[in-house]
Amino acid sequence: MGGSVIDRDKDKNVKPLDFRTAADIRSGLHLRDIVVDYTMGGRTVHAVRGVDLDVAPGEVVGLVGESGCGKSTLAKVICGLVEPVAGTAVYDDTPITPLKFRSRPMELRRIQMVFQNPYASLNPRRTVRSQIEEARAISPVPVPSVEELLASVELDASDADKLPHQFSGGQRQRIAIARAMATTPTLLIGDEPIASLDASLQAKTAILMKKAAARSDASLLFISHDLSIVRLIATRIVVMNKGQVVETGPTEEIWNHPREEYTKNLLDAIPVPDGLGHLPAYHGEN
Amino acid sequence: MSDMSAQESELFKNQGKPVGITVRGLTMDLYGRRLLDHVDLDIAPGKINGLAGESGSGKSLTSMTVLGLPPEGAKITGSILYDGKTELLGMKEHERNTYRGRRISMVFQDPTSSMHPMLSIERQLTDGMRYHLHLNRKQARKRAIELLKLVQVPDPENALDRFPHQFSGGQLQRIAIATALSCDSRVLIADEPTTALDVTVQAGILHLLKDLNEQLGLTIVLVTHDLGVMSALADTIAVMRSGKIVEVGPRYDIINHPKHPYTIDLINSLPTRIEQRLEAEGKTMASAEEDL
Repeated sequence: MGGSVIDRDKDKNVKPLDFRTAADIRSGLHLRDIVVDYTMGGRTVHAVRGVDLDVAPGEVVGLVGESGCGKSTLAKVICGLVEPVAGTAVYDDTPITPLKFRSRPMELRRIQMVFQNPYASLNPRRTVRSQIEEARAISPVPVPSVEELLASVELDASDADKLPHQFSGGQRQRIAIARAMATTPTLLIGDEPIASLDASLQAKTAILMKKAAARSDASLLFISHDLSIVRLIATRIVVMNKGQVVETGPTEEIWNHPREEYTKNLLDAIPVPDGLGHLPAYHGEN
Repeated sequence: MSDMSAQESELFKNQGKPVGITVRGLTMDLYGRRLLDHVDLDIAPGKINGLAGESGSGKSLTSMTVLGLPPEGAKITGSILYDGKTELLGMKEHERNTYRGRRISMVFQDPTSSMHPMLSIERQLTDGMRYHLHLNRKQARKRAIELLKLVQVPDPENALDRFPHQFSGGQLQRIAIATALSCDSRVLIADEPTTALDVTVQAGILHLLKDLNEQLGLTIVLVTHDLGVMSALADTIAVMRSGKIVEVGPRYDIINHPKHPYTIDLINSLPTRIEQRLEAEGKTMASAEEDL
């Protein structure tokens, strides 16, 4: 979210906080009893109904669930884009407040998001360099150069002076990741960052995002409906359904021994690419 | 098909044998660019024919051309034979209309955008029948109810009077399939039919397509980039890249013993394959991160 730096000049007078002294002074993300309602035409939709979620410093958490389960809404709460009706959200001891006209507090800029659609999240009229430079400017610690950042997502230094339309969807998503990393985030959120990519790029991009986060000691909250990819990168999986967390546990445990019926059905429904022609189990729509 | 088997249905009594389509040397040029390059494709009668490839590979273009909706101004050469005898390419438009939607139909990726938001399900489902089969409103409605039972939409009578926004994505895709079958089409082209759906809903649509294929002898062209879906449903798989078919073969062989470098790349990028590779090398994700 390199866009939220409207009045960054003002912040230059503020002494940069030293965030990176040690991982142990960071306490990570803590959400407690988060409730989010949307009101549309007089009707209220309960998008999130009392969710607790913790992401420890350096942890890679996969948040999975089907469309409408509230996972994207939760991501927006963490970024301050949606105001919860109830509950507390704290990141590194700073309460997360909804984004209004003022710029986000320095501490909360360490939370960065990569969105689903790379065609919409990059500014079409600005070069890759200027978009990444803008993100670099809000980093409180020294950041690698634009070229180094691009190299870290396997793009060429010469790509810096191109415009977004000159890249494919997968490349654009990597630019978006580089831009998010340019702020040296301590928490990186991917909201379905691979859903609009070609199949052969999905696993690759997910792994790349994990590597980028690991390199700078950042936590990663990876939101996806694709459990088989989440399984590759996450150390812990949180399963959501109808606005609530139904199950959470270490990746292998959720994958091999799910306790909840909902998780079992979700895993059963994934088609296995073994060439044997078995249809995945169908337990009806819920 | 749980409560309503196809055999019981009046709908498909006069179906006859399954129909195939043979595509030979299909080449398309548009604005000086070659979009399809000598595509040979055997759409086998009564089978589920997979067409795999990534965005821009020409898989949708091929299927749209088979359906008879190529992009405007495209220069097309080659041959598309319906049932081994009727040449579809170069056919007069009024004649082509007796195939499109009547003998060959299509189901699209996103049911919410392939349906008209302001027309009732009845109107959208019966439009084709009234045009192609010359049914009156009452007959068409009766047939529509049968079709909805066939694709297992609950409470069909009621469903006909509702509008697309009142259904979930999975239910809408079932209605789209019913619409495609409404005029006894013998070939169904399903272009990414489950890509916009959740996995649990996807499983239901896959079962439905398999049932229709087995019980009606419906020929299906399954166009998708999802090799998991392909592996569950397709009998044969053709892999496309840059407007060319690079490899064709039985499902098992393509998934487990791909020969073309591009197919090998595609298969190797599957999450399950990445994992197997790591396991074989005795590595975990964490230790192998740098080589990936």
